[in-house]
Amino acid sequence: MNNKVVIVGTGCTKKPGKAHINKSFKELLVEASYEAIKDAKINPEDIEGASFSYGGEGEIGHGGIAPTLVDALGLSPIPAFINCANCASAHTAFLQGCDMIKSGKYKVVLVAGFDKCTDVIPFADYMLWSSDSMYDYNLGFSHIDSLLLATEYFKENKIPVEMQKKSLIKFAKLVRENAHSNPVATLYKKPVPNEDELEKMLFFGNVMSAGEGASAVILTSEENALNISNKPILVEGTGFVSSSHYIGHRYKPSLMRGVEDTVSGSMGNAIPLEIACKDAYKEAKISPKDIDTIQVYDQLVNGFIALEASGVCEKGKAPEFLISGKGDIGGECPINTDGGNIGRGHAGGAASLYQIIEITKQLQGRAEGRQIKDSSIYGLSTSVGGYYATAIAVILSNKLFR
Amino acid sequence: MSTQYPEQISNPAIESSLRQWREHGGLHRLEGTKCSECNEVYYPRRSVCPKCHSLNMSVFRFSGKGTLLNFFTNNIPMIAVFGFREHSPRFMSTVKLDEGPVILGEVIELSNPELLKPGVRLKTTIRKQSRSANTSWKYGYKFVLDK
Repeated sequence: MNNKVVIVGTGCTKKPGKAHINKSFKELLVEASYEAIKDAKINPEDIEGASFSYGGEGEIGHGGIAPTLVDALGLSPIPAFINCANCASAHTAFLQGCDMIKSGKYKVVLVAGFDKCTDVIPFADYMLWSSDSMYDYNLGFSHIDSLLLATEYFKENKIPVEMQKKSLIKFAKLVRENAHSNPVATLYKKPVPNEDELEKMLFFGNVMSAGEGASAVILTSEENALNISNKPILVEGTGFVSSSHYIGHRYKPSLMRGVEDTVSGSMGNAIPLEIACKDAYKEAKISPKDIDTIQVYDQLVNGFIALEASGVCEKGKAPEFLISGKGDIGGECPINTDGGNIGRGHAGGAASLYQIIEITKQLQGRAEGRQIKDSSIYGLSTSVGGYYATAIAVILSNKLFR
Repeated sequence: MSTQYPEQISNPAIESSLRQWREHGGLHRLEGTKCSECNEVYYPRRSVCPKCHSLNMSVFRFSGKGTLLNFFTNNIPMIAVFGFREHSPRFMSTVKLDEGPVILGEVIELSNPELLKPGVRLKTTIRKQSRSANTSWKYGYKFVLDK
């Protein structure tokens, strides 16, 4: 059966880079999900199954949180699956939602994610322990340390110090400018620091705003798409790689079956994401040059690593790509058009669905903030769980209604 | 985040004295596993070989000697892991053990931080890590320069 999956509705809470202490995880989830239901113009009762993701709340005391979420949404008795993959959780839930549609058993599926990490104090560390736990966090290593070690990228690619600074400043400016125009973004209307100010900030302004929020999309089959929406977005291809949380394993890519011993892995590259992207391109029958917009997990230097792993720019060339303006809103392949984790904000369990929602709206010509060019067809969303313990790529297109 | 806690103890959400005991071979003695079929060695320990899928794994104690690949100085209190804030700055490193696997570890007792460069030789030693939720000390390996 060659029936693809389409996105027919989207919804998300604003400012995912801030803590929303006045809202429970249930309230956040309902807000996002019912916005998506309204956007799709469907009846809530049309939803036949759900695929959820979360970060934070639900880890302890709820056990199996799926029925809690189904009940909160007033959707009982639908079957619901729950997915956790750190910051790639929502992409994992999305892929599961796609499989649910492709199975033929569900006509309409809700994919939704949330992050509520401030209610229970130890959960404020939730993102820090996106790791192996006993052999890293237990020894005082956190997920952020992995991202700090990723500066190996600069050494590996022999990027001169001046170029490191210039390109990081450029990236921070790019995403903050995008966020400035985006009402959903945490940095909406916040003055964009100039280059001198960015130079004085931690990592030249390349630090994400981690917070809370919820996001949702409604999926259906290609066959059913035009019954619901006049601008359905096609899921053209996906890739999904599980590697390992232990970052020592990044140096032994042959732990992934099919990867040769001769392939060199390190903290400065992202072989799991390269593989996921290649799988997505293969399914979509396109190549990196066809991608008109990309979403990458931007935190410290990871945006560069993910950009190269996607093939949109060559290895070692991300700094040049950015400085030449190719990632700008009017450039060859606009990056993080909503502001990314840095500007829009990052609500871990829901975050990667914000990326899919942004690409969807860009390809539909109804972006909340800055809009990419009308001739755009394909968008690529890449996500990372832990430090490439999970790597997922999703390619979307607007071919059905162009 | 750990700055919210004046008492520097481990994050109670993942604290487990049983697990700490069960993994002490790995944490104190740098014990990993060796596959008895294909001789591949692994750290941390495993129950099945990812290469040949044999379940025949034996305990393998690494010498603790290795070469520094990369490091970063962690001196931002806000992102220090619960229980480790008092040790800032910390030199967080990836080290290639002589037997093959790359592991992570903290490098300590540097008379001069300038001595820390990729390629330098290191060896493990056992040190206090952080306090448990019940305030007793947890131990584990750290790295020192192998002079």
